[in-house]
Parts: sequence; structure tokens; C-alpha cells
Amino acid sequence: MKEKDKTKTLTPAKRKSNFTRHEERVANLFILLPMIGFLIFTLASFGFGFYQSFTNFNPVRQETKWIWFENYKTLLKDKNFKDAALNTVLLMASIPIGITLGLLLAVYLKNLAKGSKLLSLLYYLPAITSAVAVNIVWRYIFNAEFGFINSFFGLKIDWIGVDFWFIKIALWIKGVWSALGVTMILYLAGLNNIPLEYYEAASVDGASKWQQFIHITIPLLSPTTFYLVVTAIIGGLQSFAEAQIFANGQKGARTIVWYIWERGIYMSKYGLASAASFLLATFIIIITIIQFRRTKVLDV
Amino acid sequence: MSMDMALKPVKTRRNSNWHKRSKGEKVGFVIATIFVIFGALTMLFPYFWMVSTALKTIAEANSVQLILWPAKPNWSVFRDLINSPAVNFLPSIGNTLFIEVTVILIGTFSSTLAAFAFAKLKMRHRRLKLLVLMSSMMVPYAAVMLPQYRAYLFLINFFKVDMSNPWPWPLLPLIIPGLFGNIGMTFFLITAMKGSIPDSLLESAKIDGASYFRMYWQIALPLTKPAIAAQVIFWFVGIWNDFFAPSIYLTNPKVWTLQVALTSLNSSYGTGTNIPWIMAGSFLASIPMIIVFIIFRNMFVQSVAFSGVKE
Repeated sequence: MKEKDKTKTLTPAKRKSNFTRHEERVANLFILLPMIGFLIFTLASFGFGFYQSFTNFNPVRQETKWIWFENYKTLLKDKNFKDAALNTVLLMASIPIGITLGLLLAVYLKNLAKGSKLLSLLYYLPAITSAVAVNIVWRYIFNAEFGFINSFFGLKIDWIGVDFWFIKIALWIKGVWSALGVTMILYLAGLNNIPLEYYEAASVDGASKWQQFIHITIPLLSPTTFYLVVTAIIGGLQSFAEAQIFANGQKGARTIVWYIWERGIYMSKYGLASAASFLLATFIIIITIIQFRRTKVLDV
Repeated sequence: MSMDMALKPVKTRRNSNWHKRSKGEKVGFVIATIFVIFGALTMLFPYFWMVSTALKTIAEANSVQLILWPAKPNWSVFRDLINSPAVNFLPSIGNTLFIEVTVILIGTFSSTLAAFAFAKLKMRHRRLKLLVLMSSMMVPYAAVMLPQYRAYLFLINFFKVDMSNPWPWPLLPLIIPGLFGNIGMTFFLITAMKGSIPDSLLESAKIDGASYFRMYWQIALPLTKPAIAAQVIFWFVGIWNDFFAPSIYLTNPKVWTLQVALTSLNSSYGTGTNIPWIMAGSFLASIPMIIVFIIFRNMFVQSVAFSGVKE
């Protein structure tokens, strides 16, 4: 109201700047909700977690004590944490396999005249199925006594048992199975962006299909590959359902996030769990910043 | 050989003439096809196994002997599961949909309004503000989970919530953060709105005295409907399948979402586990999303591909 009265007496130039100021005010109002959400659920939450990592909370007396770096020291000495970190990293070994197979699949489907729609649907199914359902069914496929794998191949392997490697092999298989669909879809989108002329020119110059694949397809798909590797690492660092549902907390599959969940939510050791989550977050934030810079994600 | 064919480049797609191919290429193609079809069957197998196991008796499901398909499929397993008060299947779907509807309705409003401001309105420090919002994508849930959980514990204590009948309190930590929008959606729509809303249209609306909110509501929203729909579907599937945060807050069966109901079925492991029910539940929980995906496939793929191909 107030503003309208003002504009009547102003020169056109000033009126324009007034409009821009109005526009700016409206724009800031329009982004207010996400900003508030960011302040509460990211900044304040993360900040409090950071503060908490320097404290020791006693759930019985409801007392919080500032203990400097004690939690970090405990954490780095804790064998459980080290094991969880090792498991988390080892479980990511399926990433390159999934990405390679997804690329080969995308190239095959791209060249298929018929049936590629049905095939890509089948390969994409795990991506739209919940982690809960996926981990439950694989848990029973790998069951030692009556699981499909052992009965079918006549094996007697305790896949989800105390053995360090068997549980990882099982999770790698499950991991590749889960990741293929997304990899395939992204590579198919990437392949669609490669101009056909490149291949035609290469053919004219006598390059074989293999040479074309190595020198045209792979380099031109590198942004997709980079994105896939980074998101897979970020996702892998946060894996939880595998440890919780597939392995039911079995030692060989406990991941960092499972450790944070167990210490924090289950045991109310908020300080220690917060220290672990701060280390994890620092790592993920660095990887994400590299990704943002490389993909110029903010140039919108 | 199989590599050679499987890796055949793009251009052959349109003139893929079987007769023109060399013998080596044909053999390679056949081998690659066998691999891909075998792979597709492997993809499908866990779903087949879910159904097959669901239809078995408990004894058959626990049998050491391999039973691919039960002799007498127990089709009533699905009905029994849905009707079981212990599993709480339908109320869990109700809770899931309650989260879906509130979060997506209000969250889409917040996200698209912000996207409109970023895409079309003049704003100082635009990049910085966008960067601030984007930074929420970097922070893993595990790093904000504990403070939020403690705040929740404090609040239910403060309001003296009756935890034997807590609806809808434990659902709120899953709903409220979503109401403020989804930065992934905002980001996707900034691009969409820049591309599909001509500035001239907004200029003429301005001359006609339309408010900025009306421009958003009557120009920006209708023009970007397909992009919004693509993101809504993507978000819908995400909430449906979400498990980590719900498993923390939803300990009372009255507030379970579907995924939490499934986990509790699964964790009753050991004491006479009803494997057919676990499998039937997993299958029933997966089917709606598979149907959603088949119907809205193109929109869905668009949302997925956007993230990866953007330079």
C-alpha cells in the first residue's frame, strides 16, 4: 500500500528502481521457506551435531559435559569404528563392476532395434524397489540353510555368517544387481547426446568398432561416468540397510552409518556417534564440493 | 567377440541391417544377446522368488530342498497378510500415504515457488543463495539425524505425548522437513522454468498489473507442469521406499509406514519366522512402485537422467 503512494510522485527512473526493489523483496519471500528449512534442518542440526561431538551426554542424569576431543580419540581407537570404516570401503568395490556392466548394457540396448524398452524396464526394477524389500529377498536367497543359492549350486556356505569375505561377496552381488538399472539409464541418456557424425567420421577413417568405443564413446561419456562414480561413493558411504536388514547387524557388514545408528540412537552415546557422523559428513562434503566444481552445477 | 558387437556404436541403430553384418558381428551379437537376456532373468529372479516363496507353506519355505514353485500355491497368503492385525498392513499404507500427500503437496509448493524466484526474478546474491540451499545436499542424513532425534525426544516430552497412542507425533519428523521443499526439485525446475517461460510473457503480465504470485500460479506452474510432474513422481517413489529415518521414529505399530511394517515382519526372525509372509509383504510393497514406473516411465527417466547428464 505504502509503496503505491510513493510511486505516484517519483520519476520513471526511480519508479523502476522501486519496482526492482519490490521484485527483489518478493523473490526473497519466495525462497523463504527453503531457506528456513535449510537453517533448521541442515545448518542448526549439523551445527548442534558438531557441538555435541565435543560433549559427553549422560542419559541417566540428563547431563552434558564438554570433553574436548575425547570422543574423536575414543572413536579413532575404537576397533568397531575402524571395522565399520573398512567394511564401508570394501563394500564399495562393487561400484566399478556395476558401472562397467551398466555401460556395456547401455551400448547394447542403444543398438537394439526391438525389445530394448522391455529389457531396460527389467534392469531398472531394483532402482524403484525399496531397500527393505531388496535386502529382505536377497537375505533369503543367500540364507545358509534353505537359501536359493546354496540349494541350487549344492553349496554349504554360511554367506551371512561370521566369515569376513563371504558376506562381502554376497553384498557385492546384490550391489551390482541393484546399481545396474540407474547406471544403464544414465549411460543411455549420455549416449543419446553423442552426435552420430563422430562415429561416421571415425568409420570413414577406418577405425574399428573397438577403437571407436575407446576413443569416442568412453571419453564423451566421462561426465556421466564421473557423476556415477561420485554418487555411488556418496551413496556407499551412507549405506545402512545392508547392515541392518540384509545382515541383521552381522559384524562383517556393519557400516559407518550403522555404527552411528547403533551408538547414537540405540545406545544414546550421542557424543561419540556425533563425532563419527561429523567425520563422515566432512568426507562426503569434500567429495560433493569436488563434484559441484567439476560439473559447474551452479551455473543455472 | 561379444564385446565387439555389444559395443557397436550409436549410428548403426537406424541402419541396423542384419544381412549387412559380417559373420563375426553376427556371432558376437548373438553372444551379447544371450548375456543380456540371462542378465534380465537374473534381474527378475528375486521378484519371482518373492512370489514363489510367498505361495509356499512355512515348511516348504524352510526346506533345504530346492522348490522353484510350490505344488499347491497358497494364494490366500496375500489376503491373510493384509488382514492380519499384527502386520498392520493397510494402516501402514495409510500412514505412508499421509506422509506422501502432506509432504508432496506443500513441499512442491515451496520448491516450485523458490524455483520461480531463482529462475525468473531479479535477486541480489542469487548464486550465493542458491549455493546455500544446495549445500543441504552435501550433508548426509547421518550428520543431522542425532540432533533432530534429540529435538524430537525433547518435544514429545515437553508436550507430554502419550506414546502408547502417539499418532501423528512420530510422523512429524518425517513430514516437517519436507514441507520446506526439496532442493533437488527446486534445482531441476530452475532449469525447466528458464527454458519454458518466455520473459515477454512475464513482462506483459507485469504491465497488466499481475502480482508476482499470480505470474507463478498462472504462468510458471502451468507451463512447467510436465517437469513438476516428473519430479513429483520421483519424490513419491522416494518417500514410499524411505526406510532409515522412519525406522528411527516409527517404533509404535500405529504409526508404522509400509517399509517399517516390512522390517518388523523381517526382524521377528528366529521365533518361527513366517517367511512366506515376509516375501508376500515385500512383493506387495514393491508392486505399486513398479506400476507407477511403468505408467510414468518417461517422466521418471527424465528426472534421473537430468542429474547425470547436466554439464
